[in-house]
Amino acid sequence: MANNASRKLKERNRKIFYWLMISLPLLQFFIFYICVNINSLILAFKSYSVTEGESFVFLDNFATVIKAIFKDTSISTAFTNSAIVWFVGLCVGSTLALFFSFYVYKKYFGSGLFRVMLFMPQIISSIVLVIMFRYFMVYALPEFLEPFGTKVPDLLADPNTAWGTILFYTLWTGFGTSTMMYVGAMNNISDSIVEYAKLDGFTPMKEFIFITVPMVFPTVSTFITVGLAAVFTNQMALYQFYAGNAEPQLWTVGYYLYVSVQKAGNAEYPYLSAFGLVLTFITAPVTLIVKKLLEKYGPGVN
Amino acid sequence: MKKKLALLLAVTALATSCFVGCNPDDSDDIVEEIDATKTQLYVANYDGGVGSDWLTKLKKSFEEDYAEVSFEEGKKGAQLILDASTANHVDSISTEIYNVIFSESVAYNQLAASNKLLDISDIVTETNADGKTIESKLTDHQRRALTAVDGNYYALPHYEYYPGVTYDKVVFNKKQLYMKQGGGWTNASGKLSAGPDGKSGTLDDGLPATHEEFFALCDQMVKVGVTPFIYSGMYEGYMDMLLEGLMVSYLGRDQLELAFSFDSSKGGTLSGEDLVKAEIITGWNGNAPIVEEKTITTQTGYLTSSFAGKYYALEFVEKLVKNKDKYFSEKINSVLSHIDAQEEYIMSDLENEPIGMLIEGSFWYNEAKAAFVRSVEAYGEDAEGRDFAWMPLPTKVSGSVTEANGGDFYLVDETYSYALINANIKDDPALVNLAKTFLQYAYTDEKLQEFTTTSGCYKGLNYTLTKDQYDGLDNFYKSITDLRGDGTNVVRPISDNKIYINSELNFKFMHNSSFGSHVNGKEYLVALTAMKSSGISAKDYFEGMRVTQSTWNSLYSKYFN
Amino acid sequence: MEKEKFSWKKFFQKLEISPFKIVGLIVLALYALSMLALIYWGLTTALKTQMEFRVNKLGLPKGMPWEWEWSNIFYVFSNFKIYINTATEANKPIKFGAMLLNTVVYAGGCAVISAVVTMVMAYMTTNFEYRMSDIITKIVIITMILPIVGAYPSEMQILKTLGLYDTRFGSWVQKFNFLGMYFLVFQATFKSMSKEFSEAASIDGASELQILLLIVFPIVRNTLFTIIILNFVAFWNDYQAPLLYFPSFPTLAFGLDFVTRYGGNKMSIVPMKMSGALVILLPILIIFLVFRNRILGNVTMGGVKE
Repeated sequence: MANNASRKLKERNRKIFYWLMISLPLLQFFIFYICVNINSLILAFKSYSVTEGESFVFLDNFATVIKAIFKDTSISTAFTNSAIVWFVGLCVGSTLALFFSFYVYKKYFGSGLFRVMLFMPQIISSIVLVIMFRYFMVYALPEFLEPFGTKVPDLLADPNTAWGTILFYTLWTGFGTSTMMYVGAMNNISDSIVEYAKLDGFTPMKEFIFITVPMVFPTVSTFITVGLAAVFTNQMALYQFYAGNAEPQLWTVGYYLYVSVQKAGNAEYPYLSAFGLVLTFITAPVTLIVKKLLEKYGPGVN
Repeated sequence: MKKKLALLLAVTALATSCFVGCNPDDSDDIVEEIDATKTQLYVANYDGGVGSDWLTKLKKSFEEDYAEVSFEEGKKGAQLILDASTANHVDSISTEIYNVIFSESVAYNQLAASNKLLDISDIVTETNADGKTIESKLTDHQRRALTAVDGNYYALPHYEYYPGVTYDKVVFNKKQLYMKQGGGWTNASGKLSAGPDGKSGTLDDGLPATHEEFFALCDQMVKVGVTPFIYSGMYEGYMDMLLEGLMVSYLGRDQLELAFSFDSSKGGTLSGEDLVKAEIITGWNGNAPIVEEKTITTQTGYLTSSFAGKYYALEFVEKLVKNKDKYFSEKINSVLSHIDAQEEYIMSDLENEPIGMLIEGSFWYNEAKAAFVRSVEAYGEDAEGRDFAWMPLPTKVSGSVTEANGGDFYLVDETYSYALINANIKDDPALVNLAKTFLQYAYTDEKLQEFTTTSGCYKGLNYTLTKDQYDGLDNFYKSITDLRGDGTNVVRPISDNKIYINSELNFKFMHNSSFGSHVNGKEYLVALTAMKSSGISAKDYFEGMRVTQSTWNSLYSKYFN
Repeated sequence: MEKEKFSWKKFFQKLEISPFKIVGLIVLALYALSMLALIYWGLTTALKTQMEFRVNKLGLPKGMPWEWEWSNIFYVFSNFKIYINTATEANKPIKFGAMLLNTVVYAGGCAVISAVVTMVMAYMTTNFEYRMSDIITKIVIITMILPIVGAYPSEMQILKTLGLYDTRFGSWVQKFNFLGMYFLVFQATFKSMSKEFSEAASIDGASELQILLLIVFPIVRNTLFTIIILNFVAFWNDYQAPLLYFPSFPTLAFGLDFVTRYGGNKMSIVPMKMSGALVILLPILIIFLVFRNRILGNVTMGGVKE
């Protein structure tokens, strides 16, 4: 009976400790996630006016948002750009990241150096990298190519070429975290499977396609899912390139939102909250569906 | 061990850089110990194009001249504590520690109306140490504009600068880019055409009188291996300076002032045929504008958004953009700052790749001091005594310009720069007395001249230099002085009109402010960018700047009476 | 015995050279070159005078290394400055040292807090099998995949209401959460950890707090340290959140951006801008190179492989 009492006391103390330890983070989560998003939801139904104060306008803000998405060419362009960035990131970026990761995982020649180089853009502040990139493109690259008779225009001066240049920049600097994660996942592949494949005469290409990618697909699918969830928050480094002054034809939705919030006062918050919610309503189901599809149809370990 | 050492190194480097980086002494902040025997006056100066040397000199002489004067009990003399940085001390003026502020881009009427500036009418109207009142150095236009809020003065004009074009006289001479009387090209000693004012023997002789002639000049430049223009590719809004310069040259003072006074009668002093008429584009005949002369009143002020001169300026830039590979320097790129552009311009002739003209504000010469020093270090004598000059721009679009139809030369001051006293000292009589004494001191003829000889720029009042002072100026500043005269041909985009006083930010005549447009539902701030990147025509851009009567009425009808 | 005929195919097979490897090598070499070229160019440009840069845009600065223009770097340290308006002070100058301090405090504080809170929550959910633990894990997964877009205005409002807007403490409170990928990393680490030590300690009468601090923490400190470094690097480079939520504490990255766009005349020339970029780059580069194995170690959502 003494043992029982002592066990009960121990269990009670355990519970107290548990709740003490998790309470503050949970409170933070409650305030900065639940309350923020509930507030965002409520804000979306309000309107602020200097003269009339706060009032409920029900779906007016949402109507304004929908109108803006379809009528304002700047915003519809931003949507298109966000989609392109995501798609290119998925097709080109993820493919190259897997390819590079495989090279590093197999410890081929120079993999140590390449591993560091691939991660370098994550280390260097994006502002620093953008400043160096901009000046490099304008001064160093033309100078380098001049002896070969190639004249390189200022690609960042014209919004028509600036878009492609910044997209390239986004890809070029975006390998770090994904490569690190993919290499980690690849290192968890059983050595025996790799040996068996080698004995079976698998070339590196075959091993990559039929063994490595399927084995790390859970990690890949997580990245795809998280990338899709972030499609409308991706700013594509536009703020670093242009601060708040990017030409509308370059905008992504993430950039538009960030710059708008920066400049916004109370009067603009409701519209921006409604905007955010509309985006959530679009991305959330799509993300969940894609996640389910990847889990169901993606290449598996078997 | 190696890691610990590296970590220690990194931490030491961080700590050292924190310490060094927090060091209060640097070239911008002028730090000095407070002298408890004197009364302190905190003076801020926006250290843009004019620099701070003039203020350092002014401080020294004021402190010397007033060393024996007591501004408060128990103390003798004054100590000026200076801040010379690029900080804007006007936006949050009420919480500023600075008592006297020299700044630019000031919304004067707004600040005066909100009691943030000290009333300085007494020092403006009383006789100064030079035997004149400061008021006598202002034009009627300025007097009316500065007292528009409630009949009192709340600030004095500080420096002025002008938007437009600088040209290299050495290149023009060397490459014979001056227009010959009767046609053709010659150097400075040849028989020159009459220029934009249509009068021979004036400063603009040999320069293009019309837009057509200007493009002929650009083509001639290209032919003889001179690149016509350079500007800052990083700040394309600087191209507005060319637009503004072209506008004021075409419109002249009377028409341009209508855009702020909204009064063809000039305060009732003109009537009938003498009323100042505005040339307004009322429609189009295909792509050709239909221009009509209109009388401007408060009710019809919206018409000034459609000045023909504005369209012709846009058309000029459109033509430049269409031929940008020919007319713009290949050095222009998206990271070429205004400083870089100045340097490229200065070095161009020295490096045998001459660029004829720079699109900039007249303050550029002061800003480019470091570049001039570098040029002399690199190229020695060849780089000394350069002969840059401010370029009078065409007064007509086409046709021939004679004495009968030529336009007078004008400069337009787009600085909105003022010297003001912070109203937050109004309850401190000693400090108010000191601040006013200092400001009055700074506006004697002697000190105004000293300002100009030190900075090369003029304050926005009417005064002239002595012959010796003029002779001591660099060639560029001499050209400004020659064109400026005593200041009476500087157009100041301010007015005492109620609409203007209450909405001055809507009428700011300044690069990055005055050439915004709406085209196809999109807003454009910079005409050059709209034309270059979006292919928008001058006509469409101009139409996008038009203000309609209904918009005008909805915004300003309350000020009509 | 007949000598075997030489075959290039067999030769390359022996060397294990394949087209896949060659393509990989070429592409990665080009990538590495591009990155190195950028850093090389930035470094060499930063150490040139303006006149030298005009005529020599690609090469090394003139003369021996000690003759290069190191004064550019020192100038940046002393004159890198921006002005901000706070609630109580207009045009407050913020110099390099202050911005560096802001950056270190922000990045360091947020890195440690975020990592420790995540670690503790992951431990609690792994070792305490209550219903809440399951809920917490689900919350993390759902928030990772459920996009909430545009909550900035709402977050601003809440920070201002709580008096946390534009305060250092506020920035730490914002990061006092357990959401994100690293929760799963820690969870996997704890799941794979043997419970022997903690059970033995419990039998010996150790409290749960003692077990956490004296048994668990030493075992996972490598993982924790790795995550702290990764967080530190991410927060060091994050300038948008400070810009939006804590404008009175500008970080170096914001300062560099501001100075590059609107800086005074001396900072307008290219070598000076590269100097500014370098003084921000170098501390973090040193930290990365020192800890690169740890940072690039095998961090997976299945744990950290040492």
